[in-house]
Amino acid sequence: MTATIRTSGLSKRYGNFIALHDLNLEVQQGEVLGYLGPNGAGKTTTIRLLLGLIAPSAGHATIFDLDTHKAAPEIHRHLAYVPGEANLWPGLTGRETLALLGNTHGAFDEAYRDELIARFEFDPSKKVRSYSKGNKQKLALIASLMTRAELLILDEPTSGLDPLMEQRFRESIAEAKSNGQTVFLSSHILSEVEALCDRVAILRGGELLEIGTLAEMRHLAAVRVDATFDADPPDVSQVPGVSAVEIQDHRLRCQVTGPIQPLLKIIANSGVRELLSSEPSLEELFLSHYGTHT
Amino acid sequence: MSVAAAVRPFPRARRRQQRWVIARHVARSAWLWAFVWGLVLGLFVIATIQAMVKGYPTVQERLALAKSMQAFEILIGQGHRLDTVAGFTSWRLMTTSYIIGAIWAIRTSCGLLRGEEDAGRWELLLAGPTTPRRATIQVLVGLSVALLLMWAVIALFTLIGGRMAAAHFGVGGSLLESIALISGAAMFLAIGALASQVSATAGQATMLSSVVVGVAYVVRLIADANNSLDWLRWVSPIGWIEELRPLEEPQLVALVPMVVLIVACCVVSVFLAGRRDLNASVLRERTGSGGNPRWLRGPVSLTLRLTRTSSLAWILGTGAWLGIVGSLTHSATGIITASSPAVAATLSRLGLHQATAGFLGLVFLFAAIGISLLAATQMVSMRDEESSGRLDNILVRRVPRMAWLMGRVGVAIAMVVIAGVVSGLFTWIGSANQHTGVGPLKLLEAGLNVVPPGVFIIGAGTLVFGLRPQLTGAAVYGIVAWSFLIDLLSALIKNADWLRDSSLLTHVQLAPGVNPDWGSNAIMVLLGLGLAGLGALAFQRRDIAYD
Repeated sequence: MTATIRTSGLSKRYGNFIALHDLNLEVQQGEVLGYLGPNGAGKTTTIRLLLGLIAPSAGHATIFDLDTHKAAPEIHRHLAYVPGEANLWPGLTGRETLALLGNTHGAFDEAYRDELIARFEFDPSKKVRSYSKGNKQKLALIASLMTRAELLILDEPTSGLDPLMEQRFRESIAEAKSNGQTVFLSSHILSEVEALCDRVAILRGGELLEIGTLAEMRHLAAVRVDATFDADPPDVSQVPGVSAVEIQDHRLRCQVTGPIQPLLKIIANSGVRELLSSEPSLEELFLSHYGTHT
Repeated sequence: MSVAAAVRPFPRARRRQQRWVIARHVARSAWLWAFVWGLVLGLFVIATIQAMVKGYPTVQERLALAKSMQAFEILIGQGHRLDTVAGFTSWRLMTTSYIIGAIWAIRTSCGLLRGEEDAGRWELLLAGPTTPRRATIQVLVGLSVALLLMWAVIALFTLIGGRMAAAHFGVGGSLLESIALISGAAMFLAIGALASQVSATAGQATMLSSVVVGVAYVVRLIADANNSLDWLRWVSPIGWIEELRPLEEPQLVALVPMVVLIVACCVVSVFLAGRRDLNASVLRERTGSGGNPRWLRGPVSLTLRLTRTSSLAWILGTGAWLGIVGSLTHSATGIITASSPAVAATLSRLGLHQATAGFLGLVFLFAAIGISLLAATQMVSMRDEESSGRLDNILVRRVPRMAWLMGRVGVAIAMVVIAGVVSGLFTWIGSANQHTGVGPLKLLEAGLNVVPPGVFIIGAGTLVFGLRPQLTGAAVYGIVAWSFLIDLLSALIKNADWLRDSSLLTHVQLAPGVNPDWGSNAIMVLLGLGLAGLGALAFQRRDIAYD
């Protein structure tokens, strides 16, 4: 596999404010990477650096092995971008906007454009000024997807879309993935990331906290254990890896990081009546990272 | 339980403080430029008094000046007792004040009413404990506060100027003169507010208000050009300003239609604000296909598509004005000839030896200001593409930054060249039956002669855009305002050549009255292109920044 996106020590500083610090990242060809982080984490800064709209303060980024700042026009022939907020020309119609953005990209699939217009139930005859936020976002999505670019960079692409259209978006990204397109998806909608992404990167305060598949992250994260006993629960607070112990009557709740066997051994020897354990959802992983670092 | 019972009310004092929050916000947004323009006009009052007192110390000289100035009444408006300091000052400031006032007022009121609505910020304000009518009233109150500040600054300078030797305006006269100087701004604030309610967009509101200014000017111009149509002055807001004559033979009755217009526009604005839906309008914006989308192939065609309406309006508006003035050349020349040799002496000071060509030379100086403003608006529009985030859509495709910038700059230069050619052409059309003796080629040459300041402004604007994009608007409008101000104050700074040279207008020869200085023009164009090149290099290296 070859890396479509590669960053090395990528940093961006505005005066004393560090927007992004030492980002080392690789996105493989055909992969869908979810890029998560709270507001101000540096997600949009990363995307603007990848697009060559801003220059790095340190480090560098390449896309298709070309420097993102020096070779921006060459790279842009092969990528499509959807901004989080579609700032389009209010005096142009949807059709004019699609023509303009298609022509400036160089090539686009007209039949697929029409298919996308139908899929997203979009009316291109109106002026952009009259579109709702959701319709403007549909326009930006269609303009990007119709290019069938090798790389899609999506910054909160579904903001303003209703659940039905969000589902259509997921179908389109699944299609793109099956066509071998690479997707860099920055999103706040964790279910969307969970459903679409091969790997997830979590960013906070301009630094990359975690990157990996969801399975890898779950393996590293704490497992929740909820056990009910016939008598009083045993004291598990000294068991390695156990934290957040709560005891209520005959019920024990705790979290365990790392090997679960020592805890299971004590529980099994204490007359357990009911035992539940669950892996964290992406939302819990996400929150646990922010909880840890706040 | 009722809502009133369930909600704990704010303390009374806090509620009172928040009641005028929109008015205070608007006043804060509008006060700076109101203050700046008040200062400019105030300084102009002092400069004009000084120029009159020092330049024309004897009665004979002032009578000669008054006679010579009759030729320019068509352009500037009818004067009264121009042989006195008061009469001359009032007359000379009249046009400047209503042009500056109208530009400031229309931009401010359309921007703070319809512009805020277009941007979606108006609905945030309306989501508060207010109604569209109350919010509109608050905007009008905020604008009035800014206008009051402008009046106070002008009044201060006029009172100081009025106390100078040989001026003797008196307190009442000075205050009335200050009212006359802000009356254009007051009326066009109200017209802008009404246009904001009936128009579909801020751009349409600005266009509509500008048309009102143009019509008012043309009606006044026709009235001043023909004695039998004197009464027409009473149907034009600009004519009312002229009829006020604040310092000599004041006609307070002229204040009546002004007040009626302002009150009527404000009342109708508030009424319409309450009746219409948010983002709805009386006038509809043209919808439909919007033209052939295949034509939109890249940044140049996009620039042409986005600026075509405003640029055409600007070019045709300037051209139409020149055409009308051209058609009145015969009347102006007649006055000039009749008042010879005093006129000849005045014109020869400006290097103008032929009355008709000299008159047209001064007309083209106004065209130079118009074309410079066209160049400045093109630069502001370029910056707006970036600050709004729309430029991202282009630059994330295969369009290199340099290609986009050169496209914008190229279109801007083409627009000012076309404006220059159209100015010459329309003046020729207007003056064709006036037997001026000035041929079409001479007028075309005069039109091209006023292009270089526009090219220089485009170059300087591009440089600032490349280095400090946030300052682009302030820089380009600042250069135009500075050039205009230095030109106005030229009588005061005769001995400071470096200061006079800092104005672009100083370097514009008054063609066709005199031959254009193509060498000087070439330097200005090359400087402009050089600055644009440096700006492009800086733009290539900097981050793209949006607001």
